Amino acid sequence: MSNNSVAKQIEQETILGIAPILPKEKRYGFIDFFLIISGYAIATWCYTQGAYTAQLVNFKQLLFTTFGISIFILAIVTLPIIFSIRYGIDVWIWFRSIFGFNGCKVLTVLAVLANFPWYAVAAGMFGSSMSNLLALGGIHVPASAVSYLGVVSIVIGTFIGLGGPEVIKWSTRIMVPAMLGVGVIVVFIAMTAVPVKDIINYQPDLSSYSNPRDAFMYAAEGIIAFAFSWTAAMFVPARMSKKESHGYWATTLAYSIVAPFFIFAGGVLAIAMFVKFGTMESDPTIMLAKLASPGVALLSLVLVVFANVGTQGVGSYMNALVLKSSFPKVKYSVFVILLFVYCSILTIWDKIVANFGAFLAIETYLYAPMMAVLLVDFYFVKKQKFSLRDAYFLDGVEKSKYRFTKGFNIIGIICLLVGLVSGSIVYNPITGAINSQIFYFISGSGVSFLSAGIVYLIISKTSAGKKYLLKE
Amino acid sequence: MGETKFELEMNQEIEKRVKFFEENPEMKDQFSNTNYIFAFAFALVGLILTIIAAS
Repeated sequence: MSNNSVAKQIEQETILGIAPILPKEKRYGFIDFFLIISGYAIATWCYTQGAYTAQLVNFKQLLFTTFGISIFILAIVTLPIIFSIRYGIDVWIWFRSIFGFNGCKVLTVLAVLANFPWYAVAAGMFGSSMSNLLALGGIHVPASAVSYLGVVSIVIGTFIGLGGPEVIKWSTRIMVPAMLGVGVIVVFIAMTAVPVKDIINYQPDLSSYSNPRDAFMYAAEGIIAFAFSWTAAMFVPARMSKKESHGYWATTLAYSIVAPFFIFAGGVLAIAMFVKFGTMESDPTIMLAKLASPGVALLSLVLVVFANVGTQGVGSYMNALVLKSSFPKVKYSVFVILLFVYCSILTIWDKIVANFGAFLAIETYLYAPMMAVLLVDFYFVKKQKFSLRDAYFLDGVEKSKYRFTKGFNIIGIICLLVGLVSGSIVYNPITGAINSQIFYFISGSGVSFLSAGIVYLIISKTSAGKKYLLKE
Repeated sequence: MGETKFELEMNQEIEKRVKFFEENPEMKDQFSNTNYIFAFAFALVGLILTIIAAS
């Protein structure tokens, strides 16, 4: 290997790898970063979430839960992103000090496996959009082939992901305004297709629920899950943000205002469909085709196609870097290809949307305790002080204070399990069974988050905990 | 051999970068208290909206 190729590979590994990014190498100001995160966030999965929520709550609850829960959770759990910007590292480098290096290996794989069904949702929507576009041109795609069309967006997104941050920056500059355009069109169509008062006075059909409060909490649990679902990969692009405040506010506003706006838009469109045709629908392309004129529907479909491709690209990049942080010797491109294969299988399987509520809750029971432990660790245990040298094992694994027990931080792992189990006891996401009244106050995810964080805080204050976690 | 050379140089690169952060512990643009106040006020707005929805 020549010196030039080694230097080039090191540069690639820095940007597409795990090395800390130096301040002079950072690329994103507030606007670029806000656009990138918004572009990633506002895929058509927002419409799926919106329609799911609208089935369970009335208009006022749709509006206030969507924005309220998103703002409340993300304003808090995004706070540790500042260390990511400060040190130019992904959260999974910090997680080595909470879960251990081998613990991180297990968790990164689980986190990505739990997160990627979202991309199958977006790809499925892309297949549906393409199918509707082709139908407008007189070409009818068999229903069994629609999911295969969805794989096309994963292929294009994979190429964008392979291009890295610079390609993503430019592609999102085009795609984000396109998707914002869809949102404006969607809200306008929804509000004009049926009388506004019919939308505002809409009441969901809750005849299958013994208690209307159950339906509201299922919707709330879904929004909580949606908010937490960003967290596993949201620290990756933050490495490239130039300022801590810019990175925090760009991330928080994109995930708590822009994405919820599209959830809300999807919910309103689903309500409009219900008012006009008597059926709920989560696919924006079908809703637009039925509610709008053919010209507007065609334009919207094209924009939806663009947005989903952008999401696949940014998602591939972020999740590949998450995996790379735990498996540094594997090439970035290998992970992008593996994610392509996994997402394609899920898309062709085509069962994620049918089990949407369960999928959301399972994902959150993993992410919520992880974020709780991170918050406690960052502010109350390590108090924002972190040894990069030990996290990178620069003086050897044996000398690192983050070596723990054979690469596993037993305390961190136990707290994670406490969160996972306590949440599942309160609310079983597989059966939908509510087993405790506490679910009606803070939800299963809330129990999972609080129990993990509190147990970690208590253990960290004991002398044995301090000795193990901080080597004090 | 190439991979060994690459890994060695990559480790040196990480070492160099870590040293930079060790020598510059205080970054100039750290998250200010004003930002924390706005962040918590923002979270409070979210909490109030959630309570309104649930009531």
